[in-house]
Order: sequence, then C-alpha cells, then structure tokens
Amino acid sequence: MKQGRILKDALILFTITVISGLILGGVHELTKDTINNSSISAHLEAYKTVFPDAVDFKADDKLTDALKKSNEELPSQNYGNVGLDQALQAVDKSGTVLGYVITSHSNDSYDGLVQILVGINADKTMKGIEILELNDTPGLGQRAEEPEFKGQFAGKSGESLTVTKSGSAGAEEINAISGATITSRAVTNAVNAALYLMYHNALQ
Amino acid sequence: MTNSLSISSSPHIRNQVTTPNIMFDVAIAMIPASAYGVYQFGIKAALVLFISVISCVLSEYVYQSLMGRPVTVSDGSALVTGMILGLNMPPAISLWIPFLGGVFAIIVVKQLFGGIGQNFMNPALAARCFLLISFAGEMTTFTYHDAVVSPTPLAALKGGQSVDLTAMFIGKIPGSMGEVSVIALLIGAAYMLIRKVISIRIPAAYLITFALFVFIFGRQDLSYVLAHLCGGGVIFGAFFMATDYSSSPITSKGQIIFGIILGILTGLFRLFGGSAEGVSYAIIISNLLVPLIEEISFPIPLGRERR
Amino acid sequence: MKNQNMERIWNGIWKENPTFVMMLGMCPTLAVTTSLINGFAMGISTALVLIFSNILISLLRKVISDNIRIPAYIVIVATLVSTVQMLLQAYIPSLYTALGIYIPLIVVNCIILGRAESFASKNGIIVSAFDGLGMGIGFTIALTLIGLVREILGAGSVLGTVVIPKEYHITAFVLAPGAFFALAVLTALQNKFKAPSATNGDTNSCGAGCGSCGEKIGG
Repeated sequence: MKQGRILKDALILFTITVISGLILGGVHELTKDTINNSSISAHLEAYKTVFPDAVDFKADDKLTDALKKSNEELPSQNYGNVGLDQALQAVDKSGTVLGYVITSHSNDSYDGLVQILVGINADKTMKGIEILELNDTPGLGQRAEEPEFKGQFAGKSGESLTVTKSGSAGAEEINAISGATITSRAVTNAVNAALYLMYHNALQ
Repeated sequence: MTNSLSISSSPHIRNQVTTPNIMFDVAIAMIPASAYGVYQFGIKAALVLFISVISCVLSEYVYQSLMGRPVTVSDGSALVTGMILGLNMPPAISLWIPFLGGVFAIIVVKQLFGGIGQNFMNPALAARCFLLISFAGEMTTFTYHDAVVSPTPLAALKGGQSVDLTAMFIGKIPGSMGEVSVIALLIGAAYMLIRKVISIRIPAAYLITFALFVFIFGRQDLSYVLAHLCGGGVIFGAFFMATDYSSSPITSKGQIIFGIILGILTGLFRLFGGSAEGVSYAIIISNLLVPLIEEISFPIPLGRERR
Repeated sequence: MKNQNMERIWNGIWKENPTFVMMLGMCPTLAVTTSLINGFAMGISTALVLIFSNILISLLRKVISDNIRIPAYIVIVATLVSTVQMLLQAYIPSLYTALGIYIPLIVVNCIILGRAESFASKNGIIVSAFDGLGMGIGFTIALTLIGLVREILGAGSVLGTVVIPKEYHITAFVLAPGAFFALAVLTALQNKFKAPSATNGDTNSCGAGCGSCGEKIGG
C-alpha cells in the first residue's frame, strides 16, 4: 500500500516535469530566432556607434590569428588583466577596409569586468569606443558611459594611452573620471589592448 | 532652595564629569585644528564649519520638538558632531552638502536609533561616508591656494610620488580642513588627554598597529610610514572620532582590541583598497563590531568563571 | 462569490501587501528598484508568474500530495519564470538587460511559494487567480513606489526625464543603502498611519497562521 503511494507520487511528479519540459522546449523554439536576431542587431548597432561610416563588419582569418597571438603576448605588457575577444574589419559599400572594430576587456575595473568596443581607423587613429559591459558604482565608475569620458578616445593616436588625474590630458593621455580612477584605468587599458593588436600584430 | 530638596535614586555622588562638560572639552580641543583650517583655507572654510554645526544643532532641536521628546541640544553633543563633520569636509564644497550631512548625521544615525548614547556608529562619520558615496566628485576635490585643484599627499603617495613631510606636519597641504595640520590636532589631543576626556588606549593601539601594518605590508621606510601617519585623517580619526563614547568599547581590553582592528582595517583600505583614504570606513565598520568586542572583553568578576 | 474575489485583490494591495505588510520578497525589492520602470517591470513579471502559478497549483491541488508538493511547486514556478524570461529576452530585450539576474530569481521569491503554500493549495481556481492578481498588484505598487523615490532622489529623474540638476543627485539612493532608506521610510510612514503591518504587531498579518512562516524567511 505504502509502496503504491510512493509510485503514484513519483509518477505525478514525473508527469509534471515532462509537461514542464515540453512547454519550455516549445517556448524556446518559438523565441529562439527572435532572441538571436535581436542580439545580432544589437551587436550591429553597437558596431555602428563606434564606426558609423561602415556598412558591414566581417571576420578575417589573418586578423583572428593576430588576435590570438596578441592575447598570448598581452599578459607580459603592463596593461594588467586584459584580453581581446573579437576583431572585425569594418568595410564600406565597395568592400574597402575602412578600419577595425575590436571587442576587448579588462578585469581590473572596480567591479571586475569591463568590456568595450574599440573602433580604430586603418591609419591607426582611434574612431571611438563604446562600453558594452560595466557594472560599476552609479555616479562614479558608471560615468565611464557618459560622452564626457568615453568621447575623449575619439581622434587619439599613439601606441598606448595613460590616465591622468591632472584634468588637462595631453596627446596620449585620458582624463580620469574624478573619484573613479580605477575604472578609468581599466577602460584605458582595455583600449590599449586593442591598440596593441593593431600596432604589433595586425598592421605592421 | 527647592532644588536641593529633590529626591532621586542612587547613585548620589556628584562630580564634574557630565555630558556637557565632556562635550565642551572635545569642542575646545578641536579649536586649534579649526582655527588652522580657517587660517589656511580662508573664510569659506569657516562658513562650511558653521553650516555643519548649525545643521546638526537645528536638526536635533527640530526632531526632538516634533517628536515631543526632551530637547537635549544644550548638552553639546550635536555641536561636537557638527564640528567633526565640518572638519571632515573639503573646504571648497558647495554649502548645501554639509547641511544635508548634518541632517543625516543627527536624524538618521543618531535620533532614529534613540538619541545620544544610542547611536551605533559615529554620526559625523556615517554622514561623511553617505556624502562620499553620494557626491564623490565634490567630496574628493581638494583645493589649495587660490582654488587650484591638487591631489592630497595620500593620493600622491598612492600614485608613487614623494611628499613633503614637514609641510604635512604643519598642514601646508590640500585636504579636508580638519585633517591637514598634524600639529594643531596633536595640541587638541594633548588637551583631551590632560583633561582625561579620552584615554590613550584607543589612539595608541590604533596608531601603533597602523604604523606596523604600513611598515610590514607597505614600504620598510620610516619616512613612508610617517607620511601615512601624517597624511589624511588618521590622527584626527584616532583621537577625535574613534574615541566617541557611545560607539567605542567601554572595557579597557576592548578599547585596545578596537584600536588594533582600526589600525589593520585602515592599513588594508589604504594599501590594498581602491581609494587613497580609508579612515572613515575603517572607523564606522569597527563601530559595528563594538558589541562583539565588548562581549569577549568583558571583565570577569572575581570568583566567577567565563561562560 | 464576486465579493470574495474583490476582497482578495484589496487584500493583496492593502491588508496583506507583500512588501510593506508581510515583508516578503525583500531581495528583488531592494535590488532592482533603482528606477521606477525597473521596479514596475519587476512587479509585473512577478505578478504574471504569481497569477499563473496560483492557477496551476490550485488546479493540481487534488493531484499533488503533501509529500511531493514542494518539488512540484518549484518545477511549476521555474517553468513559468523561464517562459517569462525567454519572452522578455525575445520581445523586450532592454528590460531583460535591466532586470538581469533578478528574473531567474523570481523562482525563489518567497511571495510565490508562500501564496502557493498558504492559499492556492487550499482554495479554488478563480479565487486563487484573484489572490495572485491582488498580491501581484500590491507587489508592483510597492516596487514602483520605492523605485520612484529612489529614482527622484538618486538620479534626479522620473521615468528617465531629468528633473533635478546633476549636482544635486544623492547617488547613495541608487546604491544598496538607498534601497534600505527608502523602504524604511515608506514602512515608517505606513506604521505612522496605523496601516496593518507585520511590524505593528497587532494583526495576524500573514493570514495563513504562523505555521507557514517557515517558507517566508530569506526572500
């Protein structure tokens, strides 16, 4: 009698689980394409913000190899815990390569990871940056997302940039966000990682 | 005459150690540092100090009146809180920020928890930390000489630059108005020690532990350790803020443990933390540990065994 | 019958408001209410899950025996939450990014299991649905209010429109401490006006008797 009840309970639980699984599978099938599309279009939109004149962004084998090589060399550079995630060519309508869009990150921000997009022209000057992921303190580190800070990168050139707290940044310097030097430094080093790829492995 | 016939319960011993007396001694002890701050940073600094004090006293008066409680403004504790808060401010700050700080210190940290003696952390410091996370920009912009923004010695130290020790000792440096002059602070501290308002246990344990920590984990260099002791709010914190009666342990052994924890935390925050300074956070975190410290350090009556 | 349904809604909004009265679901209450829209969205997502979980659990209350009720409830709630999550990700991606980790955490929101346990498992389908609706509305109102207060004080804006100049923003209010301040003040006001509350101590406020409180701790 007791065994019968356990069997019955198990069977009920099993049925509930199976039905739940089926429902979840169905919803997943239904939403899969929409989710994919929206994340692709979100990415494309982000690429466009750092490289507005490009119409398409393409992967390139040579670039990917250069990225792998840079990732091996970066730890020996003085940029802290940084890495490169993706490098794409930004091409115009005729297929000419205008520059590059590089996804890089640093793990040294106040809350750990900061991931950014860096747009670099073919002549190695900076096109601009966009913050992809940053979970810092609002009002402090999170101000890296304001144009006042991230706008500084556009037009800069040079192999590596440094952060200054003086408030009057020179040619290869970036003004720190007041009260958030760590975040400023992490973002700048993630940019430096992208520059390293350009200067040392991709565009000799 | 009728006063002398009042009936009260024991104890009946009377002496001069009353809350107003203690508080006014602390206030007097802060005069050298305040005077130096005003001398160095000008009339704006006096205004910041004045606003902080007014805000604290007013908040206490208004809150207690509204809540129908006895008004205790005259015991001087709000005055002291206001002075400590004011001395913790950068002199160039917008005036409404110290005002908000005073309201927060008195109403949120002190009165909501039951008023004087009941606050679980130092009201002035809790307010400073509240302001620091709310207005990080304004609270960390220090000016020196004609409103030129410059880094504090601690920030310079963190950035690996060298600092001028003599200037730090006298106070010719940018910083919060109350913490710049070590000599003025030490005069006030000596006054409090002589008047027996504070005991040397907490400051001594704090400063020694902190110096050792910096020596071991920072740089084995005497001038580096001295720069850390003279820079920022360590001296001010050790003598004026960590010794706050209601948020520090009452047992002597507990006071020494409290000082040691403070020293370690301050060292940790300064050497391994994100920002250059860490005294305020060290003190309010240690304030929270006070009940535990008292629990383990309570003296055992003769003949009893520890539970 | 109709009165009973309306009573459930009123009960969820005022008499047993899950946030201000029962102090349930504190984790999302404190964590996601950094702005009005975040609070509102979290409230609505939770309300949706709550209504459907109440309906399903009430429907299955005769089938699910006492021994397996907790795993069965969890599976049902988790399925609903995952569905909401996927729908949000597909159709309102911006909201999905803003709510982040807190959507999956709806599963462990004690309001949902609490209502399943103390109400839906003992009552009919329709009245359970209204109970879920009421609780959901109550939760949404509370989160929206807290979000409104924090957004105005911390970011100086309402629904993203800046109304207070930047230098007067009290950043602490969009951080964790601000959540506690805002909740404390709103609860204090409620106490002041003698609204029923767990902290007033004069009402058997959870409505389910004291035996059900075991599930409510730690939400």
